[in-house]
Formats: sequence, C-alpha cells, structure tokens
Amino acid sequence: MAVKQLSVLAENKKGSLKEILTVIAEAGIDLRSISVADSERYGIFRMIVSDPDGAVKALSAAGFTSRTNEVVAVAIPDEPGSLLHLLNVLEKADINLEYMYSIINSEAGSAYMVLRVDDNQWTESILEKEGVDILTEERVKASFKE
Amino acid sequence: MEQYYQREIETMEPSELKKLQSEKLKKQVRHVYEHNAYYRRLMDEKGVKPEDIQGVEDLCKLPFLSKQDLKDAYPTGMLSVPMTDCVRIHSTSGTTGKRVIAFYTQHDIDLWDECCARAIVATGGNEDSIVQVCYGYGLFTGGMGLHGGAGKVGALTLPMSSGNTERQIQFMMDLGASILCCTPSYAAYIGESLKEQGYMPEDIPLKAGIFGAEPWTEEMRQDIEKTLGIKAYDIYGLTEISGPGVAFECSEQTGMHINEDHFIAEIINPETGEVLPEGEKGELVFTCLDKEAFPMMRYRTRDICVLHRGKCSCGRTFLKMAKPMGRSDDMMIIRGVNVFPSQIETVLLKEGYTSNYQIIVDRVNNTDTFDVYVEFLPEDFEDTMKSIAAKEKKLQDALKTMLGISPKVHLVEPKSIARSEGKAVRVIDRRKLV
Ligand SMILES: [Zn+2]
Repeated sequence: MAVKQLSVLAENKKGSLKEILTVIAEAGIDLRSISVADSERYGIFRMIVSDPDGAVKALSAAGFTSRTNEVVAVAIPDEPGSLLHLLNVLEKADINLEYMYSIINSEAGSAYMVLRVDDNQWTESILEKEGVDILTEERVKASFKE
Repeated sequence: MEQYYQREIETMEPSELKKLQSEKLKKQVRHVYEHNAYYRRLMDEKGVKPEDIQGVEDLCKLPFLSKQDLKDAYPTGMLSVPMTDCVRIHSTSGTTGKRVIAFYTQHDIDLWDECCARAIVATGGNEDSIVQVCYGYGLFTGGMGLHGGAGKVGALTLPMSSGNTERQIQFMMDLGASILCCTPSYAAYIGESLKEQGYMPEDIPLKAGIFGAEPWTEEMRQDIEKTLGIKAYDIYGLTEISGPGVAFECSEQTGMHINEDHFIAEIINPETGEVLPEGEKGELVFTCLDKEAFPMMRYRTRDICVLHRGKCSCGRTFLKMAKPMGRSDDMMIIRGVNVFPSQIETVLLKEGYTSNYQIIVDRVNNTDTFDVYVEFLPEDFEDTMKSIAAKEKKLQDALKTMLGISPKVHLVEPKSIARSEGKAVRVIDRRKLV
C-alpha cells in the first residue's frame, strides 16, 4: 500500500534547493510535495514526485545523494480535529512518528498526509482498523494527472 | 608444545644475549666505519670512534640514520661491501620520493631467511608443512622473505605471489596448504571468497597464517581466524632492515618477538632523539648486528610502538614489540593524547566507510577541538536526521575506543571533502597557525 518518497541530501549552502529542483524539472518530473529537515550542516529534502526512481537517476548524475523509500500516505477529512485524531490513533498504538507532511492534492474535501514511521505495514493495519483512508501509489499518482 | 627453529638462540638467557649483542656490535661498528664513507662521516661529525663502542650500553653514542639519509645516499651510498659481493637487491615501494634500494650478500639472505624460518616454526610449521606464499614476489621483500624462510624449514613452498584469487583457492584446496602468508586484507578477501563458494572453516586445510606488511586490528585478526579456521600470526619487518621477520609473533599472540641476535631495538622520543625506558611509547629504532651489505645503524623506522621484555609463555626470551600504532611523522597530540591518522583510517574501514575523511584540529579557549569529517556512502543515506545522528554516534564511539579520546564526527556528502591534486587533505591542524 505504501507510497514511494524521494529523499535528497543537500549541504546547507545557498542555492542547493534550487539546483535540486532544476535537476528534477529538467528530467520532466512533476513535484507534488516537499518537506525540508535541516541541521546546522545539511538538509534532507523529502518529496513526493511523479517518478521517484527517475529522479534518483537524474540527481545522481548531477552529483546529488538521494534515495527512495516507502512511506505511509493517508487521506484525512478536511475538517477541524481530523489530524489530531490521526495522531491520537498513532499514539495509542505506540507508533513513533518520525515526521509528517502534507501533499498538495486536488481531491475536494480531504487532505493527503505522508507519515514516516518505522513499520509501514503495522501502521497501516492499525489505521485501517480505525477506518483511516489509506492511499495507494495509484491514487497519489492520479493526483499528478491534473 | 612450543616449537623453535633455533631453540638455543630463541630461548637464550638475557645476560648471554646481551653478551652476544655486545660482541657483534663492536665488530659491526668497525665494519661499517671502515667500509661505509657515509656513516663514517656521521660518526666523525659526532666525534665517535669505533673503539668508543665497547658494548650495547654504548649504542646511544652512535648517530642515527633516517629515511632522509637513505635518500641522500641513493643509490649505493649505504652499501658497505663491494657491489660484486652482493647477490640480490630489494626495494621499498617508495610512494614518496626515491625508493630505497637494499643490498644483500648471501650471508645477509641466509640470516633473513632464518628469521622467517623462526616465524614459520613459531606458528607450528615444520618440514611437512605446505606454505602458500601470496605476498608479491620481486622487489618487494614479502614474497621472497617468507619463501626463503619456508625453504630453510624444509616445507613445501607454493610460490603463488599475489592476486588471481581463484587460482590461490584452487591450489590451497587441491594441495592442502597448511600455512598462508599474505597481507591481512588479502587473507580476509580469500576468506570471503571461500565463504562465498560455500566452504566452511572446517573444510579449509589451513592451520595458520602469517600476515603483515600493512596495519591490521585485533578485530580483523578474529574475523580472519573465524572465516579461515586458523590461528593468525603477525609479522613485522622493513626492507631497510632486511624484510619480514625482523619480529614475529608466537602462540601467545601478545606482541612480536624481535630477532635480537640480529637486530637491536630501541625506543626514542621522536622529537628529541632521547632513548626512552622500556614500556614507553616512542619511535622504533633498529641496529643491524651482523648484516654485511646494507647494515643500518640506529635506523629510525618512524614507526611508533612500545617494547616489552619479560617472560613469555612460549619460552622465547627475545624482546617483544607491540603492533606499531602509526608513523611518527603523522602523529598529532590532541588533548595530550597521541593520535595517528592511520588509527582513524583503520576504524573507518572496519565500520564500512571509505577512507575519505578529514581531521580538523583547532584550539578554542585553550582546549583542543577535534573534528572528524567522513564522507558516507551514497547507499547509506537515509531520509531521517535520526539515522544520520545514530551513524555519527556509532562511529564516534568506535573512534573513542581506538583513540582514547572522543572526536566530534560529522558525516558529510559523498565527494564533498576537498581534494588537492586528487588526494584528500587528511589533517588540518589550525593550532599551528597561532
Ligand atoms: Zn612468545
């Protein structure tokens, strides 16, 4: 069920995000979401893109370190308290959330969220039981076709 | 039951040994003074005459020889017999500047071979052994040295030289080689290849290995011993002094016995040249007692190590040297602790990193700062900060265990460490600029 995410390592120097985005754009790859984590020395950009493997290839050719990995993606209702509810579910199941971010989507009435946890399968089974709408790769991909 | 190649020499009473060394030294100083103009000049400059050397206690009066002296005397300035009396040369790999060419008479070859024979017998070798030598043959001393030693022992020698692992394994398995001689990294590689081919340690005929010519760790020893099902012995030597076998390990595996009937070892302070008492860490210095063609006197090896004399469970009375910790010219003193880049390199390779690193030492508020930048492998990159921090912490702990002090480890992007002329600048010591 999980969704493929692209992560790119970038040293904290001016322009590196722009360079990364240029490489991705020039490869004809569409970007749906980006989240940035940074420390004093480097940043990690995590992205949902239309072709993660193609992006890794293009980035590596341009000298960037990147990789793909699977993350859990869910659609939550676009209403007050729904994110809080999701976090409560994770907490109750003792699931440690490494980070999360949202995906720009065109589905009316819902928000797409990316969740980075240790065990995707286990997390999805918990969420499923709680009636959370879990996204497939196909549904995320479909949002690129707009 | 411990075996010796020359029991009466290897287990000689220390007082007898000292007497033997003194006699040989007196004779050797005369030989060198008379036949080597370069060293004679050094002795004259220091005001030392051969008759001033009456025994080992006078050794400290003699001038040192350094790598620079050997460069200055290149190619034949250190030769102490007519070149026509020599039967062979060997040469250092010479990564920097001129190579050193070492000359040997037949007598020199015989005594070197004997040293290697002692090393082989100390691992349990005898005339029934099959010794597989996969050190390089040629100018490098590794192959010919162990080859000569195996010949003295009367073992069957497989003169494989290095490389062609497939053939190494084929001959090892088909003939039942019992002693493997090579670099520790090649031994580890052979071990991995055997494992990949499905051989268990008990399928491998080897009983012992004699590994040297490069730095290796205790962990590497244990790994090699496990994968090959052998006991792994260390050996030490350098072309300038003869080759492998200057010192060798016994069954106790707690240091290498120096062949003291041929070589006197001293430990000096690398900065002042002062001789340090036994047990102190310093630069290793060798004097050849009976080599004819290329007799190094108080040769500074630049290897930093510690010497210990004491009863060894193997019965040998020869002084033991610890594994060298690094080169004196690379040594840094950080927060009062001696640190060698080679130690850091060893840890990096063991932890699965490449040796692309940079050490930055600085002084802030009168305290040394110690930062190690290491490029991580592209495939080790993960998407969380936590994973990077955990990797840094693990490496930091491993470095602390090796060095005794804790550096701050920074994992950085692959290929991000500055290189000059293709080679990374390993150490930046900003304290020296102050
Ligand atoms: Zn011993």
